Amino acid sequence: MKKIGEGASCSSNSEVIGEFVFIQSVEDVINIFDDANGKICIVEDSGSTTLGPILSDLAGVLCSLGSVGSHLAIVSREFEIPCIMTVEFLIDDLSSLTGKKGKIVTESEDKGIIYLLE
Amino acid sequence: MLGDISDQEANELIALISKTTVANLLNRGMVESKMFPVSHYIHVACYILYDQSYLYNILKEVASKISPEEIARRSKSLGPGLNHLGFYSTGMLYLHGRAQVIYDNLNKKKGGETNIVVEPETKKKETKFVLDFWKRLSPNYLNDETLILKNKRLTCLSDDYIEKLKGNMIPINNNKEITKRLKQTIAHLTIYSFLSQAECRFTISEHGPYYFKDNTEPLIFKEFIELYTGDVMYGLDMSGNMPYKISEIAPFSNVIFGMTLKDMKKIEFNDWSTLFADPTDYSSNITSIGIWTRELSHPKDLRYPDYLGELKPLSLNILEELSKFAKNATKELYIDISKWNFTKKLMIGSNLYANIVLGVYAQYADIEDKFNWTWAFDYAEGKPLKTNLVDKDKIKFYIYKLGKKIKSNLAETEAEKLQIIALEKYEGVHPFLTRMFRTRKAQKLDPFYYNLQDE
Repeated sequence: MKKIGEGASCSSNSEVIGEFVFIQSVEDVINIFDDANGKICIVEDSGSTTLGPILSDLAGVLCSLGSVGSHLAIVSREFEIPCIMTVEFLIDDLSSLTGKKGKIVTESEDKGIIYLLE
Repeated sequence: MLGDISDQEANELIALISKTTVANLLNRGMVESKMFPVSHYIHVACYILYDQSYLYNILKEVASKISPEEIARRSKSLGPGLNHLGFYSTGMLYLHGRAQVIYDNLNKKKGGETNIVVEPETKKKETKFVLDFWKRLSPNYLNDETLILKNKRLTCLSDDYIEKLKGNMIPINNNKEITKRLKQTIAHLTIYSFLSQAECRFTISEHGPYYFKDNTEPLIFKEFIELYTGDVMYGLDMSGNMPYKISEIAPFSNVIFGMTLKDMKKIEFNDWSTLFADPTDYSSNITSIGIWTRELSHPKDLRYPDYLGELKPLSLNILEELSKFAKNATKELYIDISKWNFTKKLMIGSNLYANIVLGVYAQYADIEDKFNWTWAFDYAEGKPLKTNLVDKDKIKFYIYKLGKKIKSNLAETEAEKLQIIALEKYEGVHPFLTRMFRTRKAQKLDPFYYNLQDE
C-alpha cells in the first residue's frame, strides 16, 4: 500500500476501497454511466455538474482544486460519499491511476489520505 | 430618492461587500466544471450588467413600481423565489462588472490612452442607484435587519410563522433508513438543480437556525424551486424558448425541506446561503423533518408573492418520487447538454447570472412583459436580439476578451504570484480577480471592488 496524496476531507466516512478513474472530459463520465459503482473518480473541477449523474454510485471522489465549501463537496456529503478536496497528489501522471485499486482513509474530521493498493 | 447617497456612503457599501465577497471567494475557491465554462459566463454576465447598464435600466423601472423594501418584505416566506443570496448578488454581480471595467480602463490609461475616463459621472450615478437599491433589500428581509449576515445566522421567518409549521414535522426517532432516504433525495435534487441551472445555485436556498417555542433544537430549511415542469424557466414563461426539454416531469415545481437537529456543534451560513455544519455529515443528528410544496396553479405564480398558494405538507412517500425525477432528469439533461456547443453552454450561464434575479424583481413589479428575456438564447442561436438593452457585438467582444487566460506576471509580490498561478488554470477569468490576493491592509485602503474613481 503506497500513499499517493492527501487533502481536505469533507465527510466523516472513515475508509473506502475502490477503482480509480481519472475524469478528463464529459465523455469519460458518459462512458461509465452504467458502470460507476465502486469507482473512485479523480477530477480537477470543484463544481458538481461534471460527475453529477454518476455521483451517487461512486465509492469516493478526489478533487485537486476547490475547498470543503465547493459544490462538489456539498453534494458528496449529502450522499455520504468520501470526498477529498484540494488533493495534493504525489504522482504526476494521474491518468496512470485509471483501472488501479485505491483506498481513501479519513484520518480526522478534515484530513483524508489516498493510497494506491498494490 | 433612490440613488441619493454620498460618495462616502457608496464607498462604505463597496468596502463592505468587497470584504465579504473576498472572504467567500477565498473560502470556496473557483467553481469549474467540464460541462460549463463557469468563470467565463459569470464574467460575461457581469460585463453586461454593468458595462451595458442592463441592471440599472431594468432596476430603475422596477423601482418606479415597487420599492426594494417591499420586495424584501414580501419575500419573507418559504418558497418565494427571492432570498438573501438573490439580494446579495444584486450588489455583488453589478460591482463585479464595474470592477472589470475599471480595471480595463486603468490598464488602458497605464498603456498610454490619455482620453480614458475611468468611471464617468453617469456611471457613478448608476452605481449609487444600484447600491442604494441593494442596501434596502436584506435589512428588510433578514430577521436581524442587517445588510450582510450577523453572527452567521440567516433567518427571515417570524416566530409565529415557524410555530405554524410545527404540526407538520415528522419525528425520525433515530431511524437511519429515513434519514438516508431524505439526504439522498436532497442530494439528487441538488445535482439536478446545479445541472439545470448551469452550476448556479439561485434555485437552491438554505436558511436557519430557527426554534419552535418549546424546543431548543435548531430548525433549518432547504428549498428547491423551478424543478422542471415543462414550460417555465427562471420563473418566466419560456414556452417555445426552453433551451432544453426533459421527458421526466417533476411532481411539483418546488419542494421545501425542514429539519430539526440535535447535538450540533455548529450551524453557520455565509452570504451566499451556504450552510457550514459541524458535524459536516449531520444525518444522525436529524430528529424530525417536514416536507412542503407550494400548491400553484402555474409554476410562474411562485414569483408573485401575492398569489402564493397554500403551503401543503407532504408525506415521506414523496421522497422516492422526487429522487426518481431528479436522477432520471439529470442523466437525460447531462447527455443533452454534452452535445451543446460552447456558446450555448456559455450563454445559458450568462443568462442566469444576468436575468434570474432581475427577472423576479420585474415580476414583483408586474413589468416583466416590458422586457425581452430570451436574448441570451437568441445570441447562442445566432438570431437577432429582440431587445435594445443588450448589444450583440459587445457580447461577442466580452467572450473573446475573456477567452484569454490570465498570467501570473500580473502579480506585484511573490506571495500574489503563487496564488495567481492557481488562477492560470481557469479560462474566462477576468484579471481584476487577482486583487483578492492582496494583503488585508491593501484591501482596506483600496477595496476589491474599487472605491468610486475620481476621473
